[in-house]
Amino acid sequence: MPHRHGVQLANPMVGVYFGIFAACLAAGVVLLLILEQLGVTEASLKTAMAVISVALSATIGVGAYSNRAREFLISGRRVPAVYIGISLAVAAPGGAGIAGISGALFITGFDMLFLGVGIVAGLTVSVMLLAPYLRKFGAPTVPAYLGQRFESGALRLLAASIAVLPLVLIAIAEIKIGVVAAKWLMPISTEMAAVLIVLVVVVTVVPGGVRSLSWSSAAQALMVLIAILLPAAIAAVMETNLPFGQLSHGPLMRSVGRVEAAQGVPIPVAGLMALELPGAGLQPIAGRFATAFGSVGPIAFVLGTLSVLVGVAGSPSLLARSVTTPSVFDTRKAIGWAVAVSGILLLTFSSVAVFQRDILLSSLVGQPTSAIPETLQRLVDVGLAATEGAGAKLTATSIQFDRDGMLLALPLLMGMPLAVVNLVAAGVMAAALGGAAASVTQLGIIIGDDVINGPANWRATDAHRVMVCRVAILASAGLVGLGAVLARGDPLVLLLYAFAISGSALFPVLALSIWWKRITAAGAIAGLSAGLVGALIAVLADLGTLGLHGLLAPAVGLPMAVIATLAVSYLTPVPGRHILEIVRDLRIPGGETIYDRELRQARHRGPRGR
Amino acid sequence: MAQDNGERHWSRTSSLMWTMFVLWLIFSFGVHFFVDSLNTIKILGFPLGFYMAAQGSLIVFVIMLFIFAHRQDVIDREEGQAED
Repeated sequence: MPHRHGVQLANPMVGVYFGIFAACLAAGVVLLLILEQLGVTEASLKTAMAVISVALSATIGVGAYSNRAREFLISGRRVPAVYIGISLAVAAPGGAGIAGISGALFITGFDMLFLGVGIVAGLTVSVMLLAPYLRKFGAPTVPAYLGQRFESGALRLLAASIAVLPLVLIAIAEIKIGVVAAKWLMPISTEMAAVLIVLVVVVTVVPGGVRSLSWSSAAQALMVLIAILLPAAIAAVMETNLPFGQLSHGPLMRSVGRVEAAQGVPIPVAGLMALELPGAGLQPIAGRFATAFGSVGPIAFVLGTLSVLVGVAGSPSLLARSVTTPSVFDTRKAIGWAVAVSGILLLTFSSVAVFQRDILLSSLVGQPTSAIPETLQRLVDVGLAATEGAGAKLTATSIQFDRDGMLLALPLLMGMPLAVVNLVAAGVMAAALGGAAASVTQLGIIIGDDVINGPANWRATDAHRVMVCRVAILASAGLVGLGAVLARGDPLVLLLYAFAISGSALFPVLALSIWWKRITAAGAIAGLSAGLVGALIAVLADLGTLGLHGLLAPAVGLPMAVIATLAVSYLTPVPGRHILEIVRDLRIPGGETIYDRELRQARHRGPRGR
Repeated sequence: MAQDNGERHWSRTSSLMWTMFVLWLIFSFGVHFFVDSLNTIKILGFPLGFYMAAQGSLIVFVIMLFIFAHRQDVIDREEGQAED
């Protein structure tokens, strides 16, 4: 019978360690609550919150130090499913998505649900089509998988150069949102904040690569969940008397609808293909919450869901994380957890948006501009809202809200203690640090192991492979940090462009490489290139008159990639026997991990034809 | 023999995948085409079309994955292709 090779079970103490982490975090927050009562200055409380969250995750990263390639590249394939699940649920949207989607739901309402549905549907499709099979293969990166699956060094290089694009975009988006959160907690400049975040990322992941990433981001994800779910539960009790606002905010929507009608909140009508994403920074409320297709047209809604979901399913950093489980079955379980947790997060965002609309709009009724209601004033004081251009009478549409700050606005609106507000800010920062660390680690490993070490990496010693990856991680962290300071751009849009690229180019070829035996190396190369070209055309044509928003690029890129793969595969000879054996083996959960076997054989008698 | 098992294992795996895939398609895309007509029905105080996008499809995904992981595991075991 097939049996597991080289599986080391996770440390049985892991649960205890995470218990200790959660206890330290809780103790820290309680301590800050007490200090707040004792009258310690606001500034030092905020800094303390930032330091606690950063120090806890950096300590875990350093503690997970390793010089073994197996640990550095794939975390020893022994991360328990639950930890990966929680990390993936937070890493899929990342800090940019968490801050951006929650704010977009508040500003636009129903139409922004396509973002959340896309993320959860993307994780779902990944477990059906990709992740368990990639786990059986066991390669540390997506390019390494493709290169070895098709025995083509050229394909590996091409895949590496494409996978780098979404990773860079996401890393920049995460650093940008991390800067926003860091500036909320500490009085520092944008440049200083970016340097700080890059430094924390480097200290966290350089010591142990994916091993450090796995454990530190599980801790960060735990913190993010506490920081988002706790205030939302308190708010739910205050608003509906039940702690699960996710389920109980339905009846509230009717009263929100009534106030919106009384306040004259517009009911925009979007064209079929229109896509109106609220921008970063201060934005007025775009339309009534429950009205569908006011900012995103019906077809754009469906294409938007498609774009986000293929992007999430084909994301190189998420896929690399979902293969660090002890077994194929654990990969299915891990993503099952990810779907459940990210589902809860997204339900929370929509309930929070309803609570915020309810409080803000009902407090506004009939107020003159000179007397801004207390709740709104708290937001204006900290720059999360503005009332510029309001006439004599303050109306819902004459107020602007900071899209990426709406999660912070909830505890402020509810009059919760400052420690809760800071906890939320620290949570957003933790999500951004985790997201940036995940992208930068994967970026470094792809550049180090797939490009620099290249197809001959089986010849290199462990120490050499790890050293090259470390240097590459360091270099990429520095470069994306620089990019985040220099490049302008909305973090949420950068994230969605990253999804558009990975969904157009990587997802179709990955899916076909598992589900279609006839695919050839040349077909895969053609598919990757066509997907990328299609995505780029769609992004650039957005400026023209095609009417297709650039974020919906997979609507063009995906079919182009599939057609090119099919056409070129049929034009080239049927793949050889050994490749067909790999495909057959890939589809069966049992037996030795393919990557390990190929590496062992390569060391034994040199690699197969490249 | 093993070869035979492998093929039957894969055909059962693919048919499970396609069943799930169709369900997934309906809840990822299908329901959103009917938001306005579904909105006339109310459930837990939510309009149904809104509910499906905000919560229903996400809950369906979770349930689907549990069934999927379980069914796939049964197939792997019955065809002798499971790990361990």
